[in-house]
Amino acid sequence: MTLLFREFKLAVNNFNIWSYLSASDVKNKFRRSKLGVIWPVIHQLAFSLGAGVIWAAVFHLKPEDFIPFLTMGFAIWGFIAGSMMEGCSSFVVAHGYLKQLPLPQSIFIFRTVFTQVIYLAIGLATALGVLLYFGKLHPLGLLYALPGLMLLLAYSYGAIGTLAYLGLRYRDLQHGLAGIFSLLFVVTPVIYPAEVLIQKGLSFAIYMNPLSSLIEIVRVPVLTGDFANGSHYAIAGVFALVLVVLRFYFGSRWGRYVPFWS
Amino acid sequence: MIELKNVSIDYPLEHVDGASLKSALLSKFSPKRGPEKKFYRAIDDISLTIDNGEQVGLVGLNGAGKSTLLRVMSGIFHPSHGTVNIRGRVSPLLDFATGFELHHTGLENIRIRLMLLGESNESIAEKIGEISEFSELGEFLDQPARTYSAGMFMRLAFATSTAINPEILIADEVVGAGDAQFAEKAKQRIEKLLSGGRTTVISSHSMDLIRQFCSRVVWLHKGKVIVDGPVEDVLKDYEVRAPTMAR
Repeated sequence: MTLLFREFKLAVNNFNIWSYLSASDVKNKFRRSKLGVIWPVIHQLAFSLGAGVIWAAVFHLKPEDFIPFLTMGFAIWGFIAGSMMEGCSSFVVAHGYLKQLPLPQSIFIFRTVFTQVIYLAIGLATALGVLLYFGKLHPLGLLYALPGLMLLLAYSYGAIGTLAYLGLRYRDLQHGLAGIFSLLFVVTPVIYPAEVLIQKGLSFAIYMNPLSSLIEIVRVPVLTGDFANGSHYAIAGVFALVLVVLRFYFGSRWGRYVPFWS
Repeated sequence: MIELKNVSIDYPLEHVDGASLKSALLSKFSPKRGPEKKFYRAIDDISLTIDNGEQVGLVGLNGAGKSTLLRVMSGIFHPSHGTVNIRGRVSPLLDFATGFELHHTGLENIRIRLMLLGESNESIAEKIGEISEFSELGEFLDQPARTYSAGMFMRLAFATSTAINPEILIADEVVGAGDAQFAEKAKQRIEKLLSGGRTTVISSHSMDLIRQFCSRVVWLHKGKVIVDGPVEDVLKDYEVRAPTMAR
């Protein structure tokens, strides 16, 4: 508990640093293009509309139901996968600072979390636009999604914090994860409704996969205006907690080595 | 004040092919090739106190552990054994070639570095103009740092890192940076910083610089303090003995 409190204090005290770093990371990613931050929006819209129309036909679903569903799932998945993969390079890209200045390592964890949160916000805003267009936005849906979003944020912090250490130690981890996540994208119900698998008797694939719970606790409330199944909250909560514990475990065991490995 | 008690630093040694998950997993299944040396002791059981306002020079051959010791005193490296106690805000001037965001502009890099050095927003706004001017980068400050030459990096980092007013100054071989013109300017700036009467630890191969600014000299050899005393005594000894010593 004192660890968490100290971490929270660090986040508050250094807010101006990590928020500036994140914001300029996002800005710089799109600096050299005219469209700028519109790019991820276009990417998401093109994917949701294009894939939405085709897959709706494949899965025998109504496009006006399926496209909002798909674009929500896509936005959340981007955050889940992005947290893990970008987490691996949190410390790697900060090596110059970590070797030269006595800084709390958490600053670079917060930086990656915040960068991912900015992308999530762009993704969710796009998805909400799509929902509005199809008239699927539930008035209370956003409110019901708040607990899910909180758990998603805890997941992101834990995942990035843990992988920052692992990714610094094992430089090939990021490439490995990229491969794993392209498989997980298929296994996790991002682009098809979880019910499809459950009806085929494959419900274990949903409930054994914490990533699918992380998606459901945000997507279901926004689309239906009600909470998701309680077990999803439990699974996502335990998963996030394990990652946060791991983050502090590696922080205390490997923190000392970070400037050497950088 | 900086206080070191029985401090040792063990550098983890890495495999030639780097630390990868692949090699970590493979080594679990491959037969052991006898005991491997996993650490290199860069600092060996050093106890040292630097009082407030004291100006200390650090001398020693290459590889004696000077840079490592400065990183310990800056609070960057945490000791493998022993304890370190640093009281006061430290500004380390260690390496001017790294620590940049290559895709950010020069101006953004100045801002980031000042923030990381602990400057407030007000003081950043106050200093940024003077730093830009000192760096002589002009219109290039709006260009991304990846377009900079080594000399431009150095000027940017030097101008920024020396613009603050730390309680403890730790500097690693900082003089002689840049071309003749900039080096002169840099020297004046360093001299101003060093003559401020603050707690200072500098490592240098320039005995003149140390004679000019330090009252006490610590001589490091193979990770140990072999002589620690008044500047003239130690430097005379150093100049006689050091050239013939084994590394």
